[in-house]
Amino acid sequence: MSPSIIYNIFMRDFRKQRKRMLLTLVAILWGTMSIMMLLGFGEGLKVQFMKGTVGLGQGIVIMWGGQTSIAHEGFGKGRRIHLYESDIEYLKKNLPELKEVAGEYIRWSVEIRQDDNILSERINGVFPAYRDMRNMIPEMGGRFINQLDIDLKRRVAFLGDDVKKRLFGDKEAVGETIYIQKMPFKVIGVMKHKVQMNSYQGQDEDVIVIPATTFVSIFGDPYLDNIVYQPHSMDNTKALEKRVFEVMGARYKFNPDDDRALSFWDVIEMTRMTNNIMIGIEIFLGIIGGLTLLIASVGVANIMYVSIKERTREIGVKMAVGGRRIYIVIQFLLEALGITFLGGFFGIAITYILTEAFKRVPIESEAIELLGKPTISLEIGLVVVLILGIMGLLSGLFPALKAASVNPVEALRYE
Amino acid sequence: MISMKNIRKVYNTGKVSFEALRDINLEVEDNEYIAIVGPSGSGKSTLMNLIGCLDTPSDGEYYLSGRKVDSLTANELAEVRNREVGFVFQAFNLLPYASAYENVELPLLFSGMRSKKRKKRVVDLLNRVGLGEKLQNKPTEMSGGEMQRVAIARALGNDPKLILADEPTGNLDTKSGAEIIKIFDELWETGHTVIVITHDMNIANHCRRTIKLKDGMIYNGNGFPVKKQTASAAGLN
Repeated sequence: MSPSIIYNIFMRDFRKQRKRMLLTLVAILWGTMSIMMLLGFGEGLKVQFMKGTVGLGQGIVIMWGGQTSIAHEGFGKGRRIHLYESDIEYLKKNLPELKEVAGEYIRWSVEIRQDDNILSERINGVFPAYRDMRNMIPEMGGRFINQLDIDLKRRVAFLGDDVKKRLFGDKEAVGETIYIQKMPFKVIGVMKHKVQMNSYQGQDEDVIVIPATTFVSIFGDPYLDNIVYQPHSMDNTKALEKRVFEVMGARYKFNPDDDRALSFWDVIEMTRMTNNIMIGIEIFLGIIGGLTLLIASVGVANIMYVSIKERTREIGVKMAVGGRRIYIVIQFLLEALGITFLGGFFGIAITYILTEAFKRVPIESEAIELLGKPTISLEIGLVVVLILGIMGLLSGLFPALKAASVNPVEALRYE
Repeated sequence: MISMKNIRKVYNTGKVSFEALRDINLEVEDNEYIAIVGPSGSGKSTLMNLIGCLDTPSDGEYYLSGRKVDSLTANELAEVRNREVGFVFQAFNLLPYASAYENVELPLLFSGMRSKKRKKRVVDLLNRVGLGEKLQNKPTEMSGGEMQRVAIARALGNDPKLILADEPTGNLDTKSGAEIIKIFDELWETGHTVIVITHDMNIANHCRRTIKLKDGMIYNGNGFPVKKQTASAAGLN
């Protein structure tokens, strides 16, 4: 068997069959592209979704005071339960399962002035632990509230990125002064932009954060709006919740089974459910991808099969002048392989180009923000090409073997 | 050159089996010019296909140039077709999208002839059949006569001793047909063994020996089926 013979026959046929080969190549290119883009955008969506879910905070539970619904130890129903700053230490002491606990004060529609800008914004009074628990990361050149700010009741403010834009536009804000209810505060940091899909008071990008102690000295709130805690382990948050009920129930004298006394938002549990949804979406996309692939494969198989049927006569001629079966089979094999890999290569290349271009287009829409970061996985691309290649190969190989196994006389007679 | 003993060819299509050839005993010497004639369905093409190793007999022995070819492997048969035999068909059987050059080149590609030598050979052959000006033309750009001449040039590629032609003028007009016959005459005069299947008595008259087939068997001149026909009895020169 001689490689030069194979090469020569292949090159002669290539020129003749160019149009058809191109068509097959486009089919593979299209199949590869569709699946890669589908899965790429799907993966990007998942990543953004996950990021968005932790935008609120990772591994945390938010707790509010409620109203008792069961009479207990001499107290009647309908008693309001409030959360106080001292509860923070109390919880830390009695629940070693907790890694971190912090409280939050909230006030809406506070007058904020910067130069000639007068706005009405939301103010939070928080503790330093908030930075990591609630994912309020400062941009470079700035910082979050620290323990010294708390101890000294400093008049410092940390701005959400959107409220910063409203107050300062594109100017540098850190170091500048804003007036909160006519009192001067120094801006110490601006929040790094994040995607936040969940909130209980509004988006973090709209809030102005000051030290909890400063907040109390200005506004005089007697009790917290909520407590946020972060357990060491993310397992069994429900059991932990029961423990919190017991501990707080002991302190405030309510029945630990009274589930109206406190309300919880278990972000951990929610994240777990979101994860499951995302897995479900991934499976769904995978199935769609698989079906698309199947259709593309059928297309390729169809084109190759028709091509070979039509070339049976040609195969007969080649055999009649002395061509060996193996040359004919290999030639078709090479055609199928060449088309598949070229089609796959261009499919992957174009996908990369398109997704990179898409990423660079600045689109101001929250929907696009979720969708707009496609993650192209090279592994997926290669698997796709491999599968299409196998399909193309099989669909080209079997008819070719069949044609070559027929004796030349019959092949020549084939119309 | 050719020695066939008790050759039989049966086609089995499902339940029906059809005996296309039986009791074929044939001797052909080098440099003969033979016409095979007979009515439709008499087995002429079947016999030709066996002689040319396009097909294998169901029974019997076939020696080509002293070599037993009735039970060769597919690859060995392919080699015989490539080097020992040149086939010319009624329907030309050229590759429609290839030029005259590429068509004639085909058997040379399979025999592994080197590029320069191959090119020279193809040009020589096409010149020999009078198509030196049409190297790059495709079959669609040629007349029937020209296409058949390309086919003949192709058949001559690896210089086979045996030239087989199955109704070579069947699809041609009289003038083109005559040109083709002239080429076969020349081939015979230059030492090839030429066997032609034909309906045309003109062509049969050019040949030096006629084999008559009917119902899958060889007849002698007076129309009765005979079991054996020697070369001398057939009136060989």
